[in-house]
Amino acid sequence: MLWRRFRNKYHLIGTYCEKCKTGFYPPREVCPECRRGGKIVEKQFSNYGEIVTYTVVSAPPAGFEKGAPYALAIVKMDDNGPNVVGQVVDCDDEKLGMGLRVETTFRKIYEDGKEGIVQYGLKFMPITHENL
Amino acid sequence: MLSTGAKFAKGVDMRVAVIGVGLTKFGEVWTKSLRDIALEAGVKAISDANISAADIDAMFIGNMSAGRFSGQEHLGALVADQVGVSIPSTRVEGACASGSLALREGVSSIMAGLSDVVLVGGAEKMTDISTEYATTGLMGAADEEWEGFHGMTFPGLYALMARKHMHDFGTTHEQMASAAVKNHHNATMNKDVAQYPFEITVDKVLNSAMIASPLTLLDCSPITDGAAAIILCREDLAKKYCDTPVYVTGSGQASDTLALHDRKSLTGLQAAVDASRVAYKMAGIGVKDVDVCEVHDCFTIAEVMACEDLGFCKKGVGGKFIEDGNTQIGGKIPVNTSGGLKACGHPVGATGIKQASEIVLQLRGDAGKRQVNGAEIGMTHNVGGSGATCVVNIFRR
Ligand SMILES: CC(C)(COP(=O)(O)OP(=O)(O)OC[C@H]1O[C@@H](n2cnc3c(N)ncnc32)[C@H](O)[C@@H]1OP(=O)(O)O)[C@@H](O)C(=O)NCCC(=O)NCCS
Ligand SMILES: [Zn+2]
Repeated sequence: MLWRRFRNKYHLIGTYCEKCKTGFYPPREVCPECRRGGKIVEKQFSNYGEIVTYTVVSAPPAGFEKGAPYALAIVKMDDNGPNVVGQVVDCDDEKLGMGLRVETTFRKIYEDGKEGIVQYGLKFMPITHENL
Repeated sequence: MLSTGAKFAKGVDMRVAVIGVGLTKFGEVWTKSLRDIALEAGVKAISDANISAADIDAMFIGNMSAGRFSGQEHLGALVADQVGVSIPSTRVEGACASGSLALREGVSSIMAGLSDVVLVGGAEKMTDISTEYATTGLMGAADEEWEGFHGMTFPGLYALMARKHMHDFGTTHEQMASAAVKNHHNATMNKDVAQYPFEITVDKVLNSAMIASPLTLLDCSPITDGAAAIILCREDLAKKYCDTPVYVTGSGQASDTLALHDRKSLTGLQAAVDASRVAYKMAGIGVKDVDVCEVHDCFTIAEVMACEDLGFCKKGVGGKFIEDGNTQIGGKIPVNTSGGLKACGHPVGATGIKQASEIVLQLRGDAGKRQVNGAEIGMTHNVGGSGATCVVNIFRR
């Protein structure tokens, strides 16, 4: 039932606890630190970030065979944003590395085998021109 | 966040004994079905304990994904049916930690006074489907919506931790590989059970097929069919059945976020740290008292992190600790004498019970060529998912 999450999956919208200033992606309705004392609001996070760790997957799960091998990374989003996991695309093998600056890009994720439904979501690509 | 067991840990007197163990041969067992292997392990444990099925008061069965792997749910009833009993029989699920969770449930049932004798089993039949579908099925243990959605795999999740560990602490692939080499060597002394009882070398690990960089095929535990069972009973009844009972003296369980990227640390499992601290406290021992340990080496990096999380060595030096031979039989703290998940095999729901069986054999002095001399205290470390559940159980003879 991925459609429930379309807003979050398409826009990097999560939640944020205003009390302890922590971002959550996927969104959380309860802050694990502040419990009921926290103040959770919706938040659009920065689309820019930095690779914290990465891997290239050669043994894919069902439905991802066509794209393999593909890179996956955990990216720390800017402005004290959350860690987000996603594929890294349009990136040369030599370039892929720890600390690489990336931005989100809206892409096809996979085709649902049974119903042929195409799932879309966010992937990462190296930042083309960084505006400082 | 403190794991809930902590406040109960002190002063818990467990009074539970293990009086029998049973294991099937692990591997691709395509002539036998899930019910066949579950029954085989159960019957072996019952004979080993010298009891009859009529003595058993309850059963707890660890299984992760029979629904996905075999199309069969309702494992509690399935096993009761096969054993031919009508006692309470309950399936327990916590991904790859299901076995150890079932063991904890068995212990709880005896401590609560609900049962005197309990059969705890674990079984998984994983090779009836293709590797791709098994990979998808296993991802049910991670965060389906936020990790699986992107094509993440289990080797992938541990590869993310491996890369970060290498980056932060200078851990090398050679060091990680040395865990696999040791575990394959130990498996050669466990031929009756182990899936891959053959020697490998560090070079072979480095040059085997890439699965999720930096992890290669020989960094990974395999896809396995297998079952394991143990018989627990009230401490004061143990000597009635068995001359060499082994006692459960501590048990810790902790949870963490389902998704890896949500964690504070990517280079260790906080749930393992928490669970082990509770278990040590409950058993009234320190890490130095442990003589032999089975850890959850689903991938080589997992054994490196386990050595650190359990306190065998300092944070960051787990790779060197293993490479230097500290975890070999005869070393400071022998780890995975059974061959571990890597070489003995990893039928996910059965793994925790297999670990417990290995420790029981070691403490009884029945581990044959792989015996750790004079082992008195043993421990198991069983992880569910990428660390969202961890159970640490401590045993003593
Ligand atoms: C690593 C993995 C993808 C390999 O699967 P695969 O590519 O389908 O491998 P195959 O079954 O084709 O096996 C290829 C060969 O390697 C051997 N092999 C497979 N996995 C092996 C392993 N982990 N270690 C050693 N040898 C292995 C096979 O016996 C086979 O040998 P053969 O050619 O002599 O018959 C699979 O084992 C896997 O997914 N492991 C991880 C399981 C997991 O995530 N568990 C949960 C962790 S918490
Ligand atoms: Zn908060």
